Amino acid sequence: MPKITESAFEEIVITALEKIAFLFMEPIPLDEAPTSLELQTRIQFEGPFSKGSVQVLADLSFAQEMAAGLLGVEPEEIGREDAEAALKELSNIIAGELILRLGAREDEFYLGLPELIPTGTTLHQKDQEGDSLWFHFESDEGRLSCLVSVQEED
Amino acid sequence: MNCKVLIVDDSPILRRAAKKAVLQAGIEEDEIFEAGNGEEALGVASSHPIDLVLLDLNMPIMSGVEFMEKVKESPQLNTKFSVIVVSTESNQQKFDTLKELGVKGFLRKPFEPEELRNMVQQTVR
Repeated sequence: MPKITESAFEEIVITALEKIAFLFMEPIPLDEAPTSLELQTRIQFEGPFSKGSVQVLADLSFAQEMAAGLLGVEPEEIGREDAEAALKELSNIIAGELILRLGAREDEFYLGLPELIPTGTTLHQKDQEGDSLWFHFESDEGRLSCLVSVQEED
Repeated sequence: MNCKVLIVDDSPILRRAAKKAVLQAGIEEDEIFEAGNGEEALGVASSHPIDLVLLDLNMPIMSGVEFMEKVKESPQLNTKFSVIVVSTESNQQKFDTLKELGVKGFLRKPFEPEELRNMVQQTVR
């Protein structure tokens, strides 16, 4: 089963945001990562040899910047609903690219629909939790975190 | 440009972003239609003379593949319009199935607006 490296996942997130919203992200170390973020989305996937999920977390202001970039308008014109929709779409794109790297070109994967999950989650201050890895990014427009979980199936 | 385009995606923000690219391709605003899933898209395509469908695959209620299967079965809709799939999908077998069902082009998300604009222009030319 193909595996994905941490740098490959970082590249997925950076490329996705650059392409859809013209936001230029940099990975940041754990000690500079935010301790909480306002919005959180999750999408689940399952293939023949692995399953897991991608969670994407951001502040409302960053999600508004992302939605503004996507639509080509000013961030002030973006409401909460559009910001949440943009974050959901980002999680869809990241998960789509992740499963491609996990073998989705050859094997059929199920990809769920992105969903918002309750806000106010405190980010755990560890790089790794079981099968899950945290990734943190920042740009001039704000910060974004991802929690990626991949479990190999027998 | 005299061409009616139907954008099918469950994400309202993606539909708006796609609409902007379609407008930049020279399509008039009143010739652009939207649907949030395959079922809605069948309704729009049955009641308007659509020329091009931009189709997401992973949608609730009716997926893009199911939409294409319904179109293929329908004498009224089959061969009526061109379809470009705009999706995160990457499975080769699914691409082959969709080609057999009549899909003309594929654009993977994430895409830059220019890529979608160019694809629309090439398809409707």
